[in-house]
Amino acid sequence: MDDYKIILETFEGPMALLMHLIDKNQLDIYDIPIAEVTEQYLAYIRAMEEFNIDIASEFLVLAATLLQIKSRMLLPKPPVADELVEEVDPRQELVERLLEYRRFKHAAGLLEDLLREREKLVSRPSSTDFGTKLILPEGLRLDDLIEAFAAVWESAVEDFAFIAREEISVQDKMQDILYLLGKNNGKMEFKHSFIRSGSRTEMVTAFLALLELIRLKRVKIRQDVNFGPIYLTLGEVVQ
Amino acid sequence: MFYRHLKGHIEALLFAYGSPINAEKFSEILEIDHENVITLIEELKQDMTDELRGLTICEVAGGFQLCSKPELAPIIEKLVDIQETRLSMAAMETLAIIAFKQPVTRLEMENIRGVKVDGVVTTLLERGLVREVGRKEAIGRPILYGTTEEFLKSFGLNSLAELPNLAEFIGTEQQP
Repeated sequence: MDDYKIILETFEGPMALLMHLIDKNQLDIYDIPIAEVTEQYLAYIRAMEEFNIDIASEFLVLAATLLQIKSRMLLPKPPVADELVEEVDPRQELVERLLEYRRFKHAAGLLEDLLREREKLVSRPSSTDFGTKLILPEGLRLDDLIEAFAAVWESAVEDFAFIAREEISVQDKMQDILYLLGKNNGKMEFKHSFIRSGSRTEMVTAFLALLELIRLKRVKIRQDVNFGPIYLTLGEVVQ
Repeated sequence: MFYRHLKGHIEALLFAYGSPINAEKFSEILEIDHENVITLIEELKQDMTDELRGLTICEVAGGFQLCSKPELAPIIEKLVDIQETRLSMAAMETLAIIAFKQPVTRLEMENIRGVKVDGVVTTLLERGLVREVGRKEAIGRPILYGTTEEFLKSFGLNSLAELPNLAEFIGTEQQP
């Protein structure tokens, strides 16, 4: 059943379906046999369901409206209290909507006819921009073109060099600091430990190495003022 | 008729421009008054009724446009495959509602058609057949839609007044 598909006549919307049912059965739009129409309308929706077609909510709204009208017509009419109050046919609103819909369906047909007539007349594509003229540069020689090409060609050649990634490990830096301290009688300024490239990477690594040495108590530091020089001294060698 | 020599000018302008040109524009360019423009165009049109001519002047969107004669449509079709980008029935119905009821909101269109119209309205906007013409002074200030000059051109209408009165449609619904 799942693979079995059948083509049901499709409708643009609930009004189109209802209109189709009325036309098909040649019903009087002003006196719709509501029970009959409702039944057929619901049958169509059931068929859609059966064939796994997603039913748009609009179809269900109209189904509800039809059922409501049907039930209201079945109810016994309340005794009319006021003779002047004219009883309103429960179908009236629906009839008005159908008439309005039919009117615009006709209007759409009329537009379609106009379009067909018009299509027989072919006119030139609008050339509102024919006022703009493309002005070519003057006084150019072939040499200029070659020059321009050469300039583009050369600029396309990349000037490049390999940049090796600088790798300094914290371990290396710790060794550096200890070595330098040893050479300077166990005292030195922190900034003097930047002995390699002096790059930012080296500074960061040196700082991390210093922190590690402090943690291991291999080095002591002293800084007298904020942002002032940091002095390193060799700590006692931990046994 | 002193201006007969300007007939060719009008023809050339119509050819060059492609789109409809209104009488005021002709007056301005040719420096002759309105009535003379109309007379010249009428004469030109008359000349073109000759069977040996393939073009005619049609009145569209308040102007005049050079077009091939309708009876020659089959010949032109042989020249190029005309791309059929027909409007769907849904789009046509919605366009009809906008054309006859403008200015109109989406909700009003939906009430008549019983379905959402967002998709079709977008299509119509893209095609340049309708445009936003303002906002309704109601809750939410919904956008009002109306038809464009492109609509008149596409449907060969001179002005909206040429659309049959919707009342005539109402008239066809004979109450029993």
